[in-house]
Amino acid sequence: MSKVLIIDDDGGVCRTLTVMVGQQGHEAFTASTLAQGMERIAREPIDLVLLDVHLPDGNGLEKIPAISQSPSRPEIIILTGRGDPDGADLAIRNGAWDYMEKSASPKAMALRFLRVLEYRAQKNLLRRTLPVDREGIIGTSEPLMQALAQLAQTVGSDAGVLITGETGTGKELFAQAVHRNSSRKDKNFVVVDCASLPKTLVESMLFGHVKGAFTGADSAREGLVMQADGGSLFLDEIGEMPLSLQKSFLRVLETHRFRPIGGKQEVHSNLRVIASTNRDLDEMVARGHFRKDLLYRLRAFHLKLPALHQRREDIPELALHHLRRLGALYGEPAKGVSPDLMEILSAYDWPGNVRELVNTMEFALAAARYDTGLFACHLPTALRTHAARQRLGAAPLAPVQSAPAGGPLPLLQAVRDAAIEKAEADYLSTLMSTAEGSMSKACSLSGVSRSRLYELLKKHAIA
Amino acid sequence: MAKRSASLIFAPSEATIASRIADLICQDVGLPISRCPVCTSVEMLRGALKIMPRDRCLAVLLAARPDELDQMVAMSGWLHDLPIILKVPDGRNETIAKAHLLRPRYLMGPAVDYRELRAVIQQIFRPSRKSPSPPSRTSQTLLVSLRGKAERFFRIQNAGKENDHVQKP
Repeated sequence: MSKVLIIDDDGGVCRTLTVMVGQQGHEAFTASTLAQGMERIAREPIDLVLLDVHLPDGNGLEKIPAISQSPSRPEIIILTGRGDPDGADLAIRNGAWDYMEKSASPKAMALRFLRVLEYRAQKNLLRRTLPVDREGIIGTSEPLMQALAQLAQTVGSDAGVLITGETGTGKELFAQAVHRNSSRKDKNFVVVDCASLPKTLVESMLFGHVKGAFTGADSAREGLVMQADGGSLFLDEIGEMPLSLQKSFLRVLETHRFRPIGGKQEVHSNLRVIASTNRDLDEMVARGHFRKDLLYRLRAFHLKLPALHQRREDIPELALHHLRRLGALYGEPAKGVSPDLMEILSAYDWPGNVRELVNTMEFALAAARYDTGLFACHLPTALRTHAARQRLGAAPLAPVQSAPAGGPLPLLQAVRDAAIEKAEADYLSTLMSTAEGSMSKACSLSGVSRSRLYELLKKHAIA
Repeated sequence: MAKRSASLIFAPSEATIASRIADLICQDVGLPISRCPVCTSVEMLRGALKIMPRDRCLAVLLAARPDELDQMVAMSGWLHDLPIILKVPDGRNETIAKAHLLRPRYLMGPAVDYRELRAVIQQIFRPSRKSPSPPSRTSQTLLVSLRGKAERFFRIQNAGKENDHVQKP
């Protein structure tokens, strides 16, 4: 039996929905204001919230993030009497499951409740029974749990796995976890960093060569594909693999056979391929830079890793984990961490993801070498400046508009800078959304060069 | 070319090869010698790891004997976020299997092919290889800004004299 909370100031609607929920075998509670609803959500685990938009003490849409992040992370269906496509879009973007008009038929409503609660039950079951060894993967946030659920699906299969995510999100960590959770775990996990290997050498390194195969081949070499026999071959940054090699590699994936350079005999290697990239392989396929058939082979399972700003609640745990690890490595005694430092870490957008967080903790640890605890002042200047700017940028024009008569007026330059920053950030967000993440499209739409655009996106921490 | 990059070489007993690789890295990548320390003991390595910028540091591990490789595998936790180039003492299957526990970016057999190694190093230090550095690393690396360059040189060179296995060819 699931628990459903109805937040609506219309008593008639509450009664009707309570009956409908009860008929489906679930328990319903009601609240007539946002405050009452939020208090209930904080007090006990709720599975589904049916949320009205126009409530006496505020707009329900604005509370979606807070409800989604509450301890029981309930699913949300927005209910409203007035059709509002923009509101629906906003609701779903903010994490609501669905958006329904109260005039919908009881049958349609009941069907939607049923679907969302079924999904919820499956999600909870998966979370409780994730059969994976997740060593080194830190966090409990919903996006991370979803990635782990995707990882769990790869267990028991030998099909290819493609791991995508921004730089520093832990793609190699997940690749290791895929290997560790497979029947191949006792065999080699062989890393091929496609970006580290010179194009002229990559074929020889992958497939090996016989003695005298080419000038300089003084002895035979066993390739990495052979070394991965029985185990997993991890192709890091697969997007960098030369097109010419992709064809040969596709054949290895299809037949598990290959011929070392200069060799007369084909050899067999029973390997599983795990690949990762931070590039858009579909876009590369469209441009003819990546083979479609290879992509399909590699993407039997697709693990999409969340950026760190999408799982902010994991930041404190990650920070403490890496502090302990680095402290042990450097022989530093354990140090306390101040709440102001944690606040800055949690508010920052981390364009470099976990890798950047680790570097930051390393920096802070070194800066606090002679102190007993870690404070905000131990963070890199750039991070503290960013936090200060964010605070300023949150209400850049407010001081001017709402300054009490005789109150201190901010400097014109500060107001101007903050306004420009905000306008730039807003424009870039809209631009990237319109361009659907494609840099080429974004450059063409904005008339800004690629390098300048990267610079601006980095500055505003827009992914 | 690699202003903020660094490399460290751990070679308990492969002094000659280590020195040659250090020269190669310094010449090809343009690193100052202070950013390419050769460590001959675990303590030296630990000291070097403290002062190296881990986000831009290459680790070159040279194992002359199976027990040295075992030692490197045991230290893998210290090195887990660094790209590794590894030289193994022999080509036996067990050795190769052990070597892959370190997840090397480039694995060398007992005989080093310097031409190939040079190409790999150049590729690893290629400026556009990784995405732009995060803003938190725009400042100096770790202890450089805290203690000053002189102490860094002093620490590495002192440690080197205590374990003076490293000789120029």
